[in-house]
Amino acid sequence: MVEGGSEELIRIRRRTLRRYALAALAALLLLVASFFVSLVTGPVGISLYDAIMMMFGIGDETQVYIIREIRVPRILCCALVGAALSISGLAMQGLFRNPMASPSVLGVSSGAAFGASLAMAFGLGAAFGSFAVPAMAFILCFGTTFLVYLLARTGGGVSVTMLLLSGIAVGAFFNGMVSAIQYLADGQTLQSIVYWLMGSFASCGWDSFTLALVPILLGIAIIALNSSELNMLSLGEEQAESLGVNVRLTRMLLLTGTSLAVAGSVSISGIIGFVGLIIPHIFRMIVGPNHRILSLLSVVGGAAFMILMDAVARSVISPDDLPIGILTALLGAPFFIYVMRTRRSYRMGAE
Amino acid sequence: MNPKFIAIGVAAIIVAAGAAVLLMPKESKGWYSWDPTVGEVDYTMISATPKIMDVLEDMYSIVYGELPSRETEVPASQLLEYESLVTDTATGIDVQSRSSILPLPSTFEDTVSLTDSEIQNMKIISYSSGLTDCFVSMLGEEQVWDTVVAAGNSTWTNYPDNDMEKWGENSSLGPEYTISTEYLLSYLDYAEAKTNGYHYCVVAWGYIKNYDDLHNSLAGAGFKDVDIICIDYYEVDDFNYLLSIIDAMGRIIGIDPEDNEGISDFQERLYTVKKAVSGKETGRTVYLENPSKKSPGKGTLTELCFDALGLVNINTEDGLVMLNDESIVSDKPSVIFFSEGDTRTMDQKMRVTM
Repeated sequence: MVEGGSEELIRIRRRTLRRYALAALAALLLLVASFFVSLVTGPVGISLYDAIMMMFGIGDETQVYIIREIRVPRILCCALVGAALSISGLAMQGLFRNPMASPSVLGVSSGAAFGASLAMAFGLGAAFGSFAVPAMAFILCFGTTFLVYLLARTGGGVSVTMLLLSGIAVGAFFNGMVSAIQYLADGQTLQSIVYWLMGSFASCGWDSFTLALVPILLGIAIIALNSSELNMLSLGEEQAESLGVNVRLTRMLLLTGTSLAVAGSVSISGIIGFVGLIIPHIFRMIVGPNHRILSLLSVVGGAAFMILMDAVARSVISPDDLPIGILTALLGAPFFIYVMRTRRSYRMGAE
Repeated sequence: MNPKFIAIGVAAIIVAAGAAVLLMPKESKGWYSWDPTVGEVDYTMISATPKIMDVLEDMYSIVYGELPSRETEVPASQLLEYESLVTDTATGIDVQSRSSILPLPSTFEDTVSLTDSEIQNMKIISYSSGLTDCFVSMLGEEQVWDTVVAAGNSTWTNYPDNDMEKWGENSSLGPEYTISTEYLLSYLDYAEAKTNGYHYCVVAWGYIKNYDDLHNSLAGAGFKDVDIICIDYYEVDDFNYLLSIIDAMGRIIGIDPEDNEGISDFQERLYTVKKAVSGKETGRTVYLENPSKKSPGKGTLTELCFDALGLVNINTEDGLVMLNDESIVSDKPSVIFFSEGDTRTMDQKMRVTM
C-alpha cells in the first residue's frame, strides 16, 4: 500500500516536473518568437534575415540604424519592464496572499507618477540633467515603498494589513498630488504628463536600457531568490515562521526587490498597468501555485507579453505610436477573463 | 532555497542583458548623422494668434538665414482674402458667435448685436489669450489695456508685468479654461460701469464649458447686457480665418478693416516671408517635434507655416500625432524644429547616445 502510494507520488512529481519543463520551454520559445516578431514589426518594412544581419551592422546604413538604435533597445526595454512588472506582481500577490495585489497596491506607481510629474511640471531633479524625469520617478517610487513601510509600522512590527492600507492611503495621496500638478500645468506639460502616465516605450533607447538594467535585474534576482519563502508565506505567516522562514527579513527583501524592479520599470516606460496582475495569474492557472517555477515563468512570460504588446502598439496605428498602457488594459483584461473562466482548477497559494 | 529554475531564469536574463550590452553601439550621432538644419521655435505660438507670424519669421531665419526687411506694399493679388464674421446693421453690427460645446448652452446666442454706442464704450473681457493677442496687434501693448479690462492669463500669453499691474492683482484670471466667474465679478464694478457708460463684452473660444454659469452670474450681478462672443477655435485651420477673427475683434471695438493694423501687419509679414522664399530652393523636408514628442501633420497651422516656407512636412498624418522614430529616421528630414519650452537637452532631442 505504502509502496504503491510512493510510486504514485513519484509519478505525480514526474508529471508536475514535466509540466513545469514544458511550460518553461513554451515560455522561452514564446519569448524568442516575440523578439523576432517585434524585430520585423515597424513602419519601415525589413525582412527577418535582413534584420538579423543588421543587428550585426550589415546592410543599408539607415536600416541598420533603425534596427540597432531603435528596435533592439526598445525590445530589450520591453523585455526588462515586462519581466520586472510580472515578477513584482507575483511577489505582491504571494506576500499579501491577495489575488488582486499588484505593485500598485503599495502606492509605488503613484509615487513614481508624482516624481515624474514634479520633474516635468516644475523642473525638479534638474541635477540629473537629461535623466531628470526617470530619476525622479525612480527616487519617488523607491522612496514610497519605505514611506509605506514606515507608516505601517506599529509597536508589534509590520502587519500585512497595515502595509496594504498604508499603500492604498499613500497611493491615493500621490494620485491627488499628480491631479493637482496636472490641473496647474500648462498645455504642453499636461500633455507630457498624461502621455507618461499612459506608459510607452517610444522614448526607450540604449540610454533607457542602461539606466534600468541594474535595478531591474537586482529586483528580479531578489524576488526570485525568495520564491521558496514565498511558497511558505502563502501558507500564512505563522506557518511560515514555524517552517523556519524569517518572515520580517523576507518581507523586507520582497518589498525591496519589488521597489527596485518597479522603480526601474516606470522610470523608462511610465505607468503600465495590468501586466503585474495578469501574467502571474495566467501562469498560476497553468502550472499551479509553486512560486519557484512561477518566478521563472513570470519573468519570461512577462517579457514576451510586453514585447508583443509593444509590437502591436507600434503597428496598430502606424506610423503613430499607441501608448502601450492602453493596449495592456484593452487586450489583457478580456484575455485574462477568458483564461480565468475557462480554467476549472485555480489556486492562489500553496493551500 | 533550491534555486534551480531561478538560477536558469536569472542566468538567462543576465546572458541576454550581456549580449545586449555587447550589441550596444558605443556611441551614436543620432539624427545628426544626416546633418539636418536644426532649430528651436516657440511652438506654443503656432496657434490661433497673430503671434504665429513671429514663429513663421523665426522658422525662416533658421532655414534660410536673415529675413529681408518688411514689404510694406502688398500687391492686391497677394492679399489674403477672408470672410467677415460681422455684418452691418442699421444700428451697429451683428457678430457671429459659435460654440463647439454640445449640446449648446441654453443661454447661447449665435448672433450678438452691438449698437454703435456700445461699440464706442466697449470694454473687453478676454477669456482667450489668442484673442487678447488680436487686440494687442491692433492697439499695441501700451494702449490695449484701456480697452481690454480683464484677460485670462495663461502660459500662451505672457505680457510684461507692468502691463498686468494696470488691471490690479485681480485682473489675472487664471488659465483660460478654468476661469472663475466669481473672481471676474469681484473685479468688475457695476457702479463704475454705469457711471462711465461702459459696455462689457466677453470674448472667448467657443469651448468655454461654463458659458451658462458665466452668463447667469453676470446677469445676476447686474451686468444684464454683457455680451458673450464665442469664436470656434477648431475652425481656425488657415490664415484666412485668423484674419476673420482679427477683423471681428477690431469691429467690436470700432476699428474698420482698412484701419486695422493687426490685419495689415499680418498681411505684410506673410507676404514678406512668401516673397523671400520664392527666391530660394524649396522642397526640403521638415519635421517638428513638441516636448511630448508629438508632431503636427495635415490640417494644422504648423503645416500652413511649412507651406509658406516651401517646406514639405514628413508627417502626413492628420492632426497632432507621435511619429515612430523609425519613420523619422527613414525620411531623414532636412530641417528639424523643436519647441523652445522643451526641457530635453539637444542631444536627447536628436537621439544621440553616448
